[in-house]
Amino acid sequence: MVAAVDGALAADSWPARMAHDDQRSRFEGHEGWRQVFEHELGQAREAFGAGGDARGLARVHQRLADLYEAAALLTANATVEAYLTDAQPSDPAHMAYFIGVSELIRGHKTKGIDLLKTVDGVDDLVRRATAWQSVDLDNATVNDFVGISGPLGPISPGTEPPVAPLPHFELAEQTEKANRLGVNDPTALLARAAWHKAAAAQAAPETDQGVLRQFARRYATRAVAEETHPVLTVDDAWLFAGSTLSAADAAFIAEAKAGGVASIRSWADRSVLAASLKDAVVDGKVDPQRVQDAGFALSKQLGALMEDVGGGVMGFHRPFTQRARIAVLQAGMIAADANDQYRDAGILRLNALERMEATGIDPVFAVAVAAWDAGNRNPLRAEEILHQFRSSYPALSAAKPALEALHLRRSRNAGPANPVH
Amino acid sequence: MALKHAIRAFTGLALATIGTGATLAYFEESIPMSLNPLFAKTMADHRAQELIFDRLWFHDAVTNELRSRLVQKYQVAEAGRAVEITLNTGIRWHNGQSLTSKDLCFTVKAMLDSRTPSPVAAHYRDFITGCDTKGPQVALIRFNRVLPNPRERLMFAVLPASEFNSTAISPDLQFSARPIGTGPFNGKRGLRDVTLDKFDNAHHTPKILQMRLQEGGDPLVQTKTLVNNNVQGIVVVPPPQRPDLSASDDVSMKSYDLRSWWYIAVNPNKPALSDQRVRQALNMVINRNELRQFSIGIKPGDKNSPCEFISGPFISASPYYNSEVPTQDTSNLPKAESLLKAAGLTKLGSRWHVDGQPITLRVGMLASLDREAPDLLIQVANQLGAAGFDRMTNKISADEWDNTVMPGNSDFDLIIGKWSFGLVEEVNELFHSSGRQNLFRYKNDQVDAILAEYNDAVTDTEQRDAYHKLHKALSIDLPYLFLWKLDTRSAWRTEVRGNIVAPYYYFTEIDSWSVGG
Repeated sequence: MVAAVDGALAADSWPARMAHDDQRSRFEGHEGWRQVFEHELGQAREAFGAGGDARGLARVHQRLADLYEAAALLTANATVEAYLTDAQPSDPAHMAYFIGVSELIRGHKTKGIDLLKTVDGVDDLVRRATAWQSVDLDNATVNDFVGISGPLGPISPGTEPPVAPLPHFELAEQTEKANRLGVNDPTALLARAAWHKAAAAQAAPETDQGVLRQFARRYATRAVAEETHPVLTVDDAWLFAGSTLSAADAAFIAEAKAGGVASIRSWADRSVLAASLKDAVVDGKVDPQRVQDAGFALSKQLGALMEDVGGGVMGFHRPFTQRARIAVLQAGMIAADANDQYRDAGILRLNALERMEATGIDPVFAVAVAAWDAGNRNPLRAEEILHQFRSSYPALSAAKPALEALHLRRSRNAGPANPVH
Repeated sequence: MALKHAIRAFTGLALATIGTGATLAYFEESIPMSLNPLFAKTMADHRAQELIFDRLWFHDAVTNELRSRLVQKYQVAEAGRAVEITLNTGIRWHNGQSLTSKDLCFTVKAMLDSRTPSPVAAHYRDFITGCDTKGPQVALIRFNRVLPNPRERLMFAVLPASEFNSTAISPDLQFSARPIGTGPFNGKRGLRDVTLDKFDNAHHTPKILQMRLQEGGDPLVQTKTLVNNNVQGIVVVPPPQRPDLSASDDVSMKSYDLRSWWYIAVNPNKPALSDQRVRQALNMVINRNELRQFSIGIKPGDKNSPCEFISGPFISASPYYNSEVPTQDTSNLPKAESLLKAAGLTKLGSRWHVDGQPITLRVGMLASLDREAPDLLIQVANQLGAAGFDRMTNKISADEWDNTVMPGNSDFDLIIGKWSFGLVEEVNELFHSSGRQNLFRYKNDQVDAILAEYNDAVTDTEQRDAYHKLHKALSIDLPYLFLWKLDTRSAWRTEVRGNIVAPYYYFTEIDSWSVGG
């Protein structure tokens, strides 16, 4: 078969290396890794919390940080779409606080601060609004957030902070009935994300702090600056079963988040993901169909490589190669997003989510898709995703009311539709 | 052997019809009942119509952006009680004529004409009052109130004035089988298939020459036919077939955002079933865990199950779902027996009797559902039999469903069915005593009052609260025994490229689809 990428790059990816029993055995011997493979982050946290793999524990906390940050963005997008774009005269007074915080989370600092300055009437909301005005969101710590939304307890890797009762606030609608409307402050989700980020930093060896920062770029919810990233020494604990196939991929993704197509060009001879995507760039644009073809080609190349190593096809080969295929789609999505190809990135985003149905759905990616959907005023898929993961991650429930409000409002203004059999 | 013959027969048929790489054949749940958008009753209808017609506005399948292929510009007029629409020039109908504002106003007037018996149009009559042409490409659509965002509501398909003699449009016109649209394909419905030929237009450049919609038969046959490349797609893949197709490099599974839930409607007009306690007993007789396992292949506790039990007329992820109402996952025969006895039924031998006569339940199911949930009808009948009811089962043809069941004229005791929804999850027509889709003319004053509350709600939260109440009321009165929501998944061969599946309407982005080598 024709190789999709240079053989050495493919051989350096985790699926290829994990075809060797001795390299894989490290991950077969710890329950935490089984849970990571199954995308069960809560159970992986518990398993790693019992000891035995500090990097595994750090990685899980970092993924939980990404999960809750995506959930904060989901809440923010739904809040703005429901209560600003589709604002109703009957909406409770004091929604300015929630919309203001949401705008900050969406990266609209001036809009957010302007709204927060108008908050009055409810002491707790005024206090929160005032506190938010002095928060630098890009450099905020867990203390900044818990100072607003309430304590989460000391940072303790291996644990999960308790979930506060919901809703955070009940505000009266401005109607004759004055029904109480449950509203949640997305700050609580940011606080939880920051808590897990701090837990990850605490759990990770000192030598891996740079790796943590580099990996954090993948799911950054606000615009990130263009930066160059070196190839760091990345232990397999950061790679196994994930969408970063090699150490160079981590640097490539961190750069591509802002650099887009230019990063594909500059990393194509070092990163297996960039190499896969090289031919998917046509006239300076990421071609979604070619990205899908590239993902398929890489999965086949890795499959053949693994077969050579194992002396035949083994049960774990396909799940590994399918993850590589999804990794290519996600990398293409990141590059397309940075290249201002919003719709093309969306095609790849949905394709990656679709492909995960066969391998297990990554909750972090799924909730990030839900956030994107809410930003597009599409509540349906987001509701299903939230419903799917709420029982495993109860804190995600904070995102539900805003998403529901978006659905109810869009439904009320939608064209007529009959039930159909 | 029968299966082998069936595969061979399908294969032969498909090979005979698939000639070029730019031709695409696929299996649908059923042959569309009507290709006229005013008379869409099934999801197969909606999907096929999306290939033939353009809706005035639609949502982008990826970004959800509100778009139109027909409208060049629009402006809100008359202080929000109208919208002035300028149509694009150069768009042709499949009969060669040009799309003009006359067509748009004809469509509106046809929907407003009370002689057009269209359930789709009936809803538009609630807020559209008229349409006037202002020039060859300009039309003004008027509303009875100010609409905050009129485009969101104007998603109807536009019809050609030249193909009708009157604005009173009947479902049995030839147009329902051989429609004329402005969409990317010119469709013709036959007895066993629908042929859709590419129609290049100013606003559509489909890459596929011809599409052929066939009714899917046995799911296993459908799967084999797809794997053998004798069709290129299956719109609805039943859960048991999904793992095999997922494991194939030649096929891609596609998500299809559709909210579908399954039910057993109970005929409260039958003497034995008029008592609420009997319906509650039947709810206790049904063992949903077993039904799901034996019919759909999902065991209790399966991870990421596509099938989740429900206790009311919404899927669990919906804001309208009342999560305080528990689901009935397994049977509770002692409780069922005590309810039946309280309702005055007697058990003689092992059979239940009412007024001295053994109860025989006539159970029907829309035949096409048997592919998605094989043997569900038999499984339900078996459970009823084991609980002491005689039963007769019937698979209901699409025609009988349309002509007898939907108008509320069927004589069944129980009917197994499925309802599908998009963004709008309104169920008023199903449960209101005068609802147009009230299968057994169910009547409950409390339910009617709750539905009135829903209609009169000032805020969306009041609407939600009304539906939470409805959910609870229905879970007690049980005009339906609610079963489950079942996710829909499609499978397309990897040669089919660019195949973005739109929520609900499915083929909205068909222009991007192609068939590669």
